[in-house]
Amino acid sequence: MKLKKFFVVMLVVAFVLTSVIGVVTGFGASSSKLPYVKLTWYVIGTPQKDWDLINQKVNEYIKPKLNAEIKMTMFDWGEYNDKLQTKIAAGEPFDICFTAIWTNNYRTNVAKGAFLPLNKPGNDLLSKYAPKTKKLLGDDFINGASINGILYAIPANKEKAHNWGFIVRMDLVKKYKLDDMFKKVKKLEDLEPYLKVIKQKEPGIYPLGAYAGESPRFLLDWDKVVDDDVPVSLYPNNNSTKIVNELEQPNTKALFKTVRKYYLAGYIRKDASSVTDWMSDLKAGKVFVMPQSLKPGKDAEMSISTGYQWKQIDITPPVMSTRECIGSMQAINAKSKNPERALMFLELFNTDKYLNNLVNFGIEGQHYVFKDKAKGIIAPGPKAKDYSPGLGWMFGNQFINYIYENEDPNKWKNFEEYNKKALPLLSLGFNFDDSKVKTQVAACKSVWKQYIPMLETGSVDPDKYIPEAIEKFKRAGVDIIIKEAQKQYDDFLKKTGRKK
Amino acid sequence: MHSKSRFLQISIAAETLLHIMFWIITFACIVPLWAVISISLSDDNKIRQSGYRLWPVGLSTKSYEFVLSQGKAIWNAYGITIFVTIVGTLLCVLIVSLYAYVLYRKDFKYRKLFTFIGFFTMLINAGLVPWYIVCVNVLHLKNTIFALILPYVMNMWYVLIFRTYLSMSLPDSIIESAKIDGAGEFTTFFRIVIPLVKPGLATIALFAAITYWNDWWLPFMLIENEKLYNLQYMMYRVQQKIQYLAEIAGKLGASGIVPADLPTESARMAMAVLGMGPIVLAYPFFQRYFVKGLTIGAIKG
Repeated sequence: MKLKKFFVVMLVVAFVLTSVIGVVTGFGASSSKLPYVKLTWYVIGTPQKDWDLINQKVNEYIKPKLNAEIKMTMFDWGEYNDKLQTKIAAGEPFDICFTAIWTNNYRTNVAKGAFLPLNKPGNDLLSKYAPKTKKLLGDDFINGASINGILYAIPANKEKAHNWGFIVRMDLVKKYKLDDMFKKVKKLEDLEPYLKVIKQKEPGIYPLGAYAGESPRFLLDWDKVVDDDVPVSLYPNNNSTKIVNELEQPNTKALFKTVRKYYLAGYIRKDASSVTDWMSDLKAGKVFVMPQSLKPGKDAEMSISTGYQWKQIDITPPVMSTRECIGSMQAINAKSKNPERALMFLELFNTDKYLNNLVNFGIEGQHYVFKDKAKGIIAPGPKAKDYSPGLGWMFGNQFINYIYENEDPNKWKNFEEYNKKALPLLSLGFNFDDSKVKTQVAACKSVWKQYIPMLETGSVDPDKYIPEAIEKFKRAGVDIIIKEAQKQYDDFLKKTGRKK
Repeated sequence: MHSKSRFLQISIAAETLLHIMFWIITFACIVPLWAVISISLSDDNKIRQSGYRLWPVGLSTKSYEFVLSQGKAIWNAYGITIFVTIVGTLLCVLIVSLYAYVLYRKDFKYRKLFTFIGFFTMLINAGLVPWYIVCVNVLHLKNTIFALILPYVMNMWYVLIFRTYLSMSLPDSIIESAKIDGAGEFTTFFRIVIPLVKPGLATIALFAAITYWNDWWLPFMLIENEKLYNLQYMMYRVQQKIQYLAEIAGKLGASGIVPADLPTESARMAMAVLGMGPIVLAYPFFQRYFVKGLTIGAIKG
């Protein structure tokens, strides 16, 4: 009898114990009575060896200023999205996280109510705690990043526009004296004579880079309404507010025909339609001309990352679209315990030259060395490989970043001119709500996978396959999406008072 | 029980057919493994030119040198994996066998209740988010080595297998006689029951070891500290990263994103080979206990 009792007690104890083990290993409750706070911040990138050291330096610097410390955590490219989605679903009270259109999706998170509204009428946190940042970004950019007129994350202050064109391998240009390219090439068709030369003289090289997902198709620069892989778009100018199926447009057909011609002439990789990893071909020195999304100094960036010298040829005019505005942002978690302090930190981070460059480039003398301190020109230091995240486009404000010596010293000036030159599209800040047409969108995406890679690489005859693709898209319900998008877009234009 | 009763004989034709079938399955298992090993021993540039081959092209051990020279991170992950596998397996076997043993004992008063508790959670689970909240907010497992061990320590499925095995192979009279001879409960369990059911324990241990060794899910959910990443998760990250960067390359547009150097094809395969290594050797070690499979009811376990 006693024994039995003893065992029941033992069993209960065993059950309780398993739950206690965890608690003991955890932390005690944090006291929020102190004015001092601890913030958490999640970003994406390739984890760096000296990350914790930099984090410590950041804390040393911000503590006297904000009476706060921040725990910075970097997740790798592939895991960032899933990790953050779990945290948000579990309602973890972290403070700041990176968000964009391409990871930890900004629109989805806002729809879930995961992010704190920053400029709600009557509670304009942005003007109160981050006035300098607000001024830096400007109204156009803030509009573009807003959803229904309210901003939920702070975009990085970088190039505010994009344009498309080519990058060209300079060693080959010099070798075959093709310098007049840079004057003569104004469109895809103008490339032909140069591709021909390379084809004849350099048998191991693909004259034109065209791959599944990265190809001359982008020269059309559609202003995508739904998603990259749904052919529902606006023309990238403010002449028309009509949403169209891009495959039905004459310029699409003309472009695919040219690409097809190049493919048949052997300028494009034979198996291009199934290859997505174009970067490794660039690094292996196998490509002469590659279509690229451009900005000032893109060629220098590509030279650094591929090990070959490139020069860019701009084809399309720069435009400011919603994509730029929501391409890289820092959001404050709606469940954050100290949103004001988090915003104050971001303000400091976006405006303080020392702090910003510390996170971007590491510690002077270790990770970088100054070549010209007045101009902020630097070179990699002895420990550069332990800290060189190369994420200037994510961390705050590029205009106060240092510049590597092999880059154009006028980089930021060029950026500013580029931003001024860019045409803000009427669709800035328009966010399509696809809740009514989810099925059609999914169906269109699978049609896209089937046809576009073949068409954009010239692997198949456009005369036969474009009509077939259009037919398939119609069956997938693309017209229903266009109708819904047009309705929402007209409403949006009316609400924002933007004229046709 | 290895009786040669005629009831278990099959015709030559059927036997041949079965053998052929099993050979095919065996090949289907071995060929991919062989391909991975041969790619890991190939020269990368040659792979790019000629595609994958079943024989190494341009034999080189460069990839292994590269992976091993990655130094601390890889060895650290290896250490974590080995530690977690050993500790986790021991704990899992201990807890599962204790739980199963009391459910096997018919004179245990709360047997039904505890069977029900385990069985109920096996059939109905709350889902991912509550699981995550319990692990993080209630048990505070986040970023601790326990996060990689505790969630798999108790597995009702193993308990049921083991209990069935006990009731099939352990007559009640043994327990009775132990009692009469004056053995206490723990003595009975550790000195008499355990030595008699080694094959069952070995099976559970193998299940657990493989689960722990191959796990990338727990670090993925609960670990944010690089020092606690295990080997499988490191591989998973590399794989994810390559896929992801290819996927978003077009979407990033002008962000000027510069993907860092990714490990080459052969280096990834070398990592996979190193990751398989020790656990492949574990099976022969357990093999001798599997002379007579385990059964759950009439089903082979």
